[in-house]
Amino acid sequence: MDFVVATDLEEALDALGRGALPLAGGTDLMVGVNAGQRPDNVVALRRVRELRQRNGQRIGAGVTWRVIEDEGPRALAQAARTVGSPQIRNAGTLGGNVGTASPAGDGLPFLAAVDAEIELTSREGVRTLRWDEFFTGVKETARRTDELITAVVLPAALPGRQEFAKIGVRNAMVIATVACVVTRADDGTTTVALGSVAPTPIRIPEAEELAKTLSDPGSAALDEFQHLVAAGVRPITDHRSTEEYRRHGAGVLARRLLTRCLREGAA
Amino acid sequence: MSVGNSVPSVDARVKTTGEARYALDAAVPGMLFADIVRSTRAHATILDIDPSEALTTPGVSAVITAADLDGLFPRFGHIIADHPILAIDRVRYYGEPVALVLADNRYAAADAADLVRVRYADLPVVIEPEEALAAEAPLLHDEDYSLGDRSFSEAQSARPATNVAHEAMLQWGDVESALEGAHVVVETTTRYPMLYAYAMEPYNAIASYDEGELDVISTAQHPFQVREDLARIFSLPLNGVRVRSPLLGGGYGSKSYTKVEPLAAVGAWISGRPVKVALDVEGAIHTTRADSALIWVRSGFDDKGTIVAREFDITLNTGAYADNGTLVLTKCVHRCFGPYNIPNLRASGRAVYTNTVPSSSYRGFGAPQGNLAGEVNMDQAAERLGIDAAELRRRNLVGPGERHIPGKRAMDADLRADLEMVVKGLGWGGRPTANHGIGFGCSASDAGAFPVSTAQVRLFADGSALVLTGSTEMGQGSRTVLGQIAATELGISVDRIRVKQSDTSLTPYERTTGASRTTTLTGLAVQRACRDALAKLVEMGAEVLDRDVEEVKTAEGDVVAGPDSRASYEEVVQAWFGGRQGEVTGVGIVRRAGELAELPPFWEIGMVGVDVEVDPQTGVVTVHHLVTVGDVGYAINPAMVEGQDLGAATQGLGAALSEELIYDGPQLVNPNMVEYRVPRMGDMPARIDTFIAERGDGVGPFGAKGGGEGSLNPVGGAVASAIARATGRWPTRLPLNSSAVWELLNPPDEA
Ligand SMILES: Cc1cc2nc3c(=O)[nH]c(=O)nc-3n(C[C@H](O)[C@H](O)[C@H](O)COP(=O)(O)OP(=O)(O)OC[C@H]3O[C@@H](n4cnc5c(N)ncnc54)[C@H](O)[C@@H]3O)c2cc1C
Repeated sequence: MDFVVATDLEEALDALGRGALPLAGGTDLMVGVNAGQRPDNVVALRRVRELRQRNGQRIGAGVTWRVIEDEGPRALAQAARTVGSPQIRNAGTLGGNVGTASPAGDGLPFLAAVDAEIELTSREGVRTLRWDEFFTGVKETARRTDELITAVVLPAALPGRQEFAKIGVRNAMVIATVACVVTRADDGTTTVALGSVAPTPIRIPEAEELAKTLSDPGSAALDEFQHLVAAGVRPITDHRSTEEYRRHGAGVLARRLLTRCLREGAA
Repeated sequence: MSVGNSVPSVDARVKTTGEARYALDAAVPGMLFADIVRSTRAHATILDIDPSEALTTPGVSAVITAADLDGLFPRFGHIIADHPILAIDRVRYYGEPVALVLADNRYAAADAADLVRVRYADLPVVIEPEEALAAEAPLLHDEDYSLGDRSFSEAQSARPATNVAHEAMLQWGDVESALEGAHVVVETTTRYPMLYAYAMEPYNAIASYDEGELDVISTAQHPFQVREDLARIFSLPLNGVRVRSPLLGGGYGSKSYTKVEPLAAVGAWISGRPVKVALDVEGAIHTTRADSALIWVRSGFDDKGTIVAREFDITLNTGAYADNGTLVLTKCVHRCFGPYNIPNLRASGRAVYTNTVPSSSYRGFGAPQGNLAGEVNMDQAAERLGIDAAELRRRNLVGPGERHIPGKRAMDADLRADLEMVVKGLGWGGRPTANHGIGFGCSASDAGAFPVSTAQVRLFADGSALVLTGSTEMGQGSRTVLGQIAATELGISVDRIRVKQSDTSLTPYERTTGASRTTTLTGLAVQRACRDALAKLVEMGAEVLDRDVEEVKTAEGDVVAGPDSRASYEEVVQAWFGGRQGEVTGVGIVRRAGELAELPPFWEIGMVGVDVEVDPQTGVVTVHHLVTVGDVGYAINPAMVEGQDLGAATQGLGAALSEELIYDGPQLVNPNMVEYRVPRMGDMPARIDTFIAERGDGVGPFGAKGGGEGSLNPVGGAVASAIARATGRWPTRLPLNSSAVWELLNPPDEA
């Protein structure tokens, strides 16, 4: 097995060009290794300083959940706090979450909610893909194997109100049954994004349209909003939950988060 | 006096600093590391095992299969010796050990294990007991296994030509006619989930085979029971097998009886070198789990709420091999109906072989499964009868000194008083709040197992003492508590005592460390050993002080024969032997005789309650308040009683709300700690009251009796009934995770 500990971006990209698999915190990758998926060429990214930087709206792929907990935008920080355990958050990175592209990745609904872009770098240069161009299926992305995820780029202005919540079977170290982010800007523009209820993170435009017209946290139209969210998701039944529960839970969570945003807006 | 105080655990410092040495830390020079090739089929004939590629891996020295065990007895099992060390011609569950790879290091062993090629021919698979009991079901076992331990006489052995591994039945009176005359008959069916008794240290063992002697260090809760299995495998006398259990990183019953020790032992026997087998959690889950249960109950009551009859039918999924399933079944049969006066009873059950991981003991031994059915049924009856649920229990609980099972020990507890502690603690009977519910339940377990314990106390020439016992320290604190008992008996301070445990060659015989028996039975053995040592010391003191034995007694670490005639223990030992040498050994024996003639040695009481809130939109359940009662007769170490009760109840909450092993087809989908969800800190109730009831009514030292399992048993039923009271719907299966509760509130067929 080839194993390179890259110390800068150049080295990492060279290794990738030779077919190496990137290893960030290893909290997803090593689970696979333990299960017998043995890569024969790996490049470790922890020492690549460029990946751990944050400038303005650009979050380096190597920034850990632990850092995001304290410094990330509100709803992403909320999500960070629910990822695994302290040990996992010290090792696991946002880039790894994006790289794995699990339907249950807790960082992904936020990226969808704010229309984040994924910055990909290879020896041929840099390209940026919108989240919905990047995530293509269950654990499938548009990344070429010679490309490194170098950063997640958030829009210059983030919505003033953002809320994240997830439902799981216990209160920590739990894979989400449903995860949801709702954001709301001062002009009433609302976004609703969900995880664990479709192959990729998903937005619900119909519900967003309706939400734009709402301002009262007690509005009767919230029933319709909840219904639109439930109707808009595409969940499956597996050993963690059922399609019906996920669909219902998506609606309930989105409604609660929207209500929170509206309350804050009113206050 | 040392007893009665919350003496800090003697292991606390080394465990906190990481210095504590567990079996996993053991190393023997020259040892090989083993990895296990596990079956990738749930039920299949093994056509061929090809180790050639694995053997080319650098560092690999052997690949062992059942074919290499010629000359050995190739199976183990303390009740039914049906469990092959390595699969013989056939695999019966996904994950069953098929071959053992030995290598210089564990990585080479793991890599090589992947390269062993096994060809299978699939056989029909049965995962659920319903399938295994069907007429066309494949037979999992057609061999005739000789019975192991005959003291498990309450269970009948396998019914030939079926997948019923064991049956058990308890009955008296005339259930049918009593039910015919009943004012109300209430029927309930419940399902208890398939569980894994998570312990931080997974199974591991290291074995050496030298000069015809087998030496094993392992995670065995019951080293003496493992010794029996190993002696039979290798046709060795009992003195030719040494099994040692250092500190265990948790047991909870999952480490009772033989697990990976035979694998390490055959590795050592074949290679001539010490062999270490250390499983990860996934391997441990594929070694032993706890029984899932389907239980049907119907109970009849008269118009005042007095029970006239109860009838139970129990089906346990016992998995591919018997292990301790026999006992789990008989205990379930004895524990399901609760500590009530029941004039007519029939409780019958069967443990069914299936193509799943073998199941065995887990804290509570069949009680949690049975109690869920029995106590939810009582709560439903209360509702039907229009009688308060606590009052219904008060009317039916057995009183102190009364017998609720003919021929068994009379009740050695005041259950009504315990119940008051729970219902008062919970504020039961107050005004209901929307989406909130209170639930509580009772259980009494025939605990303590068969009473055989022995202990030695060695009093040295410097006045310090060593307590020797075959009872294992696995975090429950026996090392501390047994030291407290010895300190009090010997009249010396606890820091002059050390307790050494669980080495079959050097510590005296102990049947098991389970069934909540240690404080009571091992404690009695230690107490008797101390008294024996002191009696000898008195004789020696008489000689040293030149008095008649009748004039001499011991007091506070001294031998005393009147106001001016006194010598410390060390002075007596030194004077008697001459010089600074010698020691006095006391022996303590506990067997089924005298006050322990009647079984069980004690009733272990479970009395718990919860206050929960249900989010009707998401089904998320929050436990706000937990109340436990540790009815232990006398709390030798109150903090440890509370710790045991909290731990037991927390495991109960896991089963009630989040834990379940899930088979999707022939394979477990969640054999890991992320997806098998034990409670974490954030899941604990905000308010916890751990009460202790001390009425000196146990047979153990100072009136003590066992605890540690009781507070698990009624938790499932208490949570289910609390959720029923919060939502108006009766759950019938655990775990009640958010999806399950939501489905309870929105049943698919009502959509
Ligand atoms: C016990 C446990 C609990 C967990 N709990 C949660 C949870 O609650 N919520 C959650 O969302 N996740 C959870 N996870 C999953 C995991 O921790 C997260 O997905 C984490 O963000 C992964 O980051 P990492 O740095 O460890 O990724 P790694 O494991 O290093 O990599 C993951 C994948 O991304 C690729 N990759 C990594 N970095 C790059 C890069 N810069 N460019 C291109 N590809 C890259 C890797 O090749 C690999 O395929 C848990 C994992 C464990 C083991």
